[in-house]
Amino acid sequence: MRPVRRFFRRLGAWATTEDRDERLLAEIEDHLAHQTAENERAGLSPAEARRQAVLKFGAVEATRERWREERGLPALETILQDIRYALRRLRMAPAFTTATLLVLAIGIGATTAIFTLVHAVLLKSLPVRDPGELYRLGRQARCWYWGGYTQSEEFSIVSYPLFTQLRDNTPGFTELAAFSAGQSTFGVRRAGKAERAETYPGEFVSGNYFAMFGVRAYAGRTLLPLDDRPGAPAAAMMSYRL
Amino acid sequence: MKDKTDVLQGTLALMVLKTLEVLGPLHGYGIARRIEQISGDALTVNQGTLYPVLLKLEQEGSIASEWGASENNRKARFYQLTRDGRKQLRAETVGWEQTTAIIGRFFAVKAQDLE
Repeated sequence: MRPVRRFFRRLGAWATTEDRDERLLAEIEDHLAHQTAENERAGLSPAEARRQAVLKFGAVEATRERWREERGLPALETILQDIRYALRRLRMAPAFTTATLLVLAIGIGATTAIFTLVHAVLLKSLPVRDPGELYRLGRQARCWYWGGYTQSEEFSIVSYPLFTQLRDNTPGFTELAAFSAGQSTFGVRRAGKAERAETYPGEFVSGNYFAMFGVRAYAGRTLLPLDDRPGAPAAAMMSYRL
Repeated sequence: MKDKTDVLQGTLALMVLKTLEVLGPLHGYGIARRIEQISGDALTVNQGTLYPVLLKLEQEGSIASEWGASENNRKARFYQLTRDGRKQLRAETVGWEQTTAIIGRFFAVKAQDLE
């Protein structure tokens, strides 16, 4: 507590430059007057009494120096002086200053831009319940990724029966969901409206798809395993953006 | 003992606090005089070194100061102990006594005492 209090007092003393060390000088003057009077009472001549008093007090300049160091924050003062000096020097060399500022600005700008990109692409978490526990199965990064099917590349596309087999027999996963390979399009029309159906892209997904991601519906309900049975009534979800 | 004054510098603050406790509000010269009287010639520090110590104690809130008139009718700065200062003095007195007691016991021990 005491050092904290002292720091704020020093900060205050440093901020208010008035009264500098007039107070100390007055105190020293009073001190010397007392000592001189004392010496005179002991029988010294006035001049000698004063001389002895000054000797006994010690170097006034050294005391003032110490006092000033204790009073404010000399370290802060020094830093400010250095900054002022640096600014003065920079103003004397405008070409150098401009070049330096440009280099710094470009450097900082480029770093910021690249980080923004990396942040968006790599670092930001997926908007699902537990991104850290999410895995995509397959042998390559592109697995289950594109509808095109070629002989030359491995796409890890599995049949629906194989998926159900994997889903039911891999206890290592809490949930295993699937989506259709390739893109499907759907004809969409508002309920009860006679207007022409619009074509929108869509995707078939397994009934546990939304439960696995931990994503809830904004309105209505998500698809459930209940919808994922032979003979179940057709069910669809619409994306918020649509 | 190469530098006696180093130790004394550290204890100067404690002497100031004790002096103010015993004598009440006092100006710088009074404090210096009192410390000199009590310590005799053993304490050979310049009186000037007292003032930075006073300032530090004041910044820490152990003492407070205000302008007043001294005996010879000059403007003088009077120092007095605050409540915090009293507390600090009590704590440091205990600490100091413990230290001196321990050191004293070490010096009192003779070789035959340990046999």
